[in-house]
Amino acid sequence: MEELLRYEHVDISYLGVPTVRDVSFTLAPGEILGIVGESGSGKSTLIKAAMGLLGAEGCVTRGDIWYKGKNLPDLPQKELRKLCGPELGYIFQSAGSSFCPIRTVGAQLYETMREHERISKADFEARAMEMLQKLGFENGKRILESYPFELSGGMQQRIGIAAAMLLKPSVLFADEPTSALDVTIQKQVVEEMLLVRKTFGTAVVLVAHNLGVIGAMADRVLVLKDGEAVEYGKTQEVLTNPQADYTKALLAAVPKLRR
Amino acid sequence: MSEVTVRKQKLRKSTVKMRLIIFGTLAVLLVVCSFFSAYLTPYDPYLQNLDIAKQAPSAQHLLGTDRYGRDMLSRVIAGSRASIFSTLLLVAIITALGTAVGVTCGWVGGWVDTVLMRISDVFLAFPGLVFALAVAGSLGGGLQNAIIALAAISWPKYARIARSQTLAQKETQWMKAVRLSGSGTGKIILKHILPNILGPILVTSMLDIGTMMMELAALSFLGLGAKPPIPEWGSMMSDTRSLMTTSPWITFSPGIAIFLSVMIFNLLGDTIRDYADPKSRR
Amino acid sequence: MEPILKAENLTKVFSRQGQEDFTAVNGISFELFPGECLAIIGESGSGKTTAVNMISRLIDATSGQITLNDQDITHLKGKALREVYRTMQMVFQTPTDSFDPRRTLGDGIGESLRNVGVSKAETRKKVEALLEKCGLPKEFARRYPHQVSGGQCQRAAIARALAIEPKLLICDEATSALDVTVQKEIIELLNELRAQQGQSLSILFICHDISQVQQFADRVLVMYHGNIVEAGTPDEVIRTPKNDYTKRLIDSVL
Repeated sequence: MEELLRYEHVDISYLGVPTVRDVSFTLAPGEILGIVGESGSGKSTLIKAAMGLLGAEGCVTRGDIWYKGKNLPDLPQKELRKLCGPELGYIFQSAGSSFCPIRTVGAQLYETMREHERISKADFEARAMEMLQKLGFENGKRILESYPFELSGGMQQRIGIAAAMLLKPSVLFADEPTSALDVTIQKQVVEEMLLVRKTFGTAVVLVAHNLGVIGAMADRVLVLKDGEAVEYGKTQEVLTNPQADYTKALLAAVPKLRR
Repeated sequence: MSEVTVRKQKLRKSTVKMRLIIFGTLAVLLVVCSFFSAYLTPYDPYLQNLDIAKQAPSAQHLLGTDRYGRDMLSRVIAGSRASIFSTLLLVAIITALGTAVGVTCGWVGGWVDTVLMRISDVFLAFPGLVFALAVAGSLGGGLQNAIIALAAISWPKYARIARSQTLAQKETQWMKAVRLSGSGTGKIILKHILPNILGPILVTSMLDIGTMMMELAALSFLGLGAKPPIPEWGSMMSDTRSLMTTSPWITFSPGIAIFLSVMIFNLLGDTIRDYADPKSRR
Repeated sequence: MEPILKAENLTKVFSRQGQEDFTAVNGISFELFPGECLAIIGESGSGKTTAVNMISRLIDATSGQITLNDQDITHLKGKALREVYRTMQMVFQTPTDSFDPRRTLGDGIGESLRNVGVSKAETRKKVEALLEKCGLPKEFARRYPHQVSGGQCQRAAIARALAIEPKLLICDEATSALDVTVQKEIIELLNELRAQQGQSLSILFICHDISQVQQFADRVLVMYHGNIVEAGTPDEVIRTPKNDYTKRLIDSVL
């Protein structure tokens, strides 16, 4: 199967300071890749680089990020913008704060869709309701009419996922989507993302600091330490037979419920 | 190794520190000049000599002479004492007064907050300069009364800023920790609240220097500020309005002095605001 | 043995403009004994943070009684309340927002000591000792909060809480904003401190993840919609939950 995304020997610097060094990995269609590491390991930086979210201070100083034959760091802004949304989706760590607080959820989702395709309000509502229903939301209409602050943290996060999925991207980047949530809601979000993969065949790159969350979802795992990849392989193998000492330490840190 | 793309990162050097030094130095020079103006004037600014009246700028009199033969350059330099010094005093007063009221309102809350804020609303409701004119007029003219008048209408702005900043600091998580350390109200305000709110307040002060200078000059222009023969840029412009077409240097010299001073303080204020912003890389 | 902390029918009702009154905490009662670690588990909105804010007197209770070290602290204010803070201290959720950003960590840690009249020199020595006790180098006294990592900041926050030698330490979601590896380190630090101090230190640990406290807490209370729905040792609650909500809670952990 042809790969969807390929990072080749990627180096990223922030203001001249190297943050990520020589990281390479691939992503096949429909695959879920988990990138795990502590704060400061460069994991968020790694996925921000693909979508051009590094800002003026960040730069991919070496290596390539290939997506469907295009080298993302070298794409002009205009072309990258066309990809962001319909091909590459992004979920922020705290989805609630990525929404504008003074407009309804429906209005914001409509605005996002309009950026990429001409669509009437009626069509949008139909598609949005269909998406929300497929993703397990019970009262789609109420959600579209709500303001972000009227919804709980877990709900906001799941809607962040639905919002990204509206444009049916091939790859979904999720930056610590469960870190700001209660453990019980974490499970809901994890299930949501598995449902997304099952229903739409979307590939997911999931960034987290908790190897337990990754273990529940990912097909393959990349372990990052101080900007460098220390382990990369199938989840089952990495969890049952970790090669690197650091991976072992991460595994030991996950609180397990002894039932 | 196979072909791996290498890219160079474009780093724009931050100019904030350099600008801070330049404008800071210029501002300090202005202030120093205003303090030592008595020693910096090439001629006596009060010395009249009708023989050389209304002379255009020349080698001996760089900015020419006014209708009484007084050296314009000396008048402008001498005028800096009134214009700059008074402005700085005015800004210091409104900052201190406004901050004190604002912090009290923000911290104490309740009816004290309501009463003081309504009082400041009253002051804000008056059209600024008109009210200042009324106060200055009723107190009689003179620079001192002009300062009082302008202070009366300008302090509410600082009170509002200080109040909302104080309220924000009260809600922070670390403020809870400070309360649990057993610190009393006075200590909290002096050691914790003031240092955290002074940043935005000082930037507002700096940016206000220019505005206050203009307002003081305006009051003087309207005859309610410094009284002749005391040189003050605003009144100097007002007295010589009629000479603008025939001897423009007499009206424009103090005008340009106001313009340059206001610009320097405004640029300094902008730069301090940029410097205080953690997002601007320094 | 007398409990160090006793909450009786503690209730908090928030009245909101134009809406019904909201009962955040609905008459909860519990006891904490000297040397014990009691965990309160609950999701966001369960009322656990409100309960703890009442106990630490950061907000007033609507009704009920709080007894700390045999003293009724429910309505204390001002100087009397400041005295109580020599017995009870707290560590908060967001490490980097736990200290005044304009003051050094050393200043923050030593503040409670300076407030009770300890000299500057003596305070400095005690601050250095506390930093070492919490696994930080002495130089950190001169650092500012934004110059250190989240985990380091939280250790400094624990050092600050311990400076005044309190009998009760309240940890309000103290590990929730940290990476899992750092969470483990902080819990290990708290365990060490408990072992060192024995009966003289009791801990009230608030969090949303019951797995974290299975090895750490002596007893667990589960809160839901302002009520305590289950109580027992961690093993009892996890293996034999009696309440439906507790069962759902256990099942929904990854």
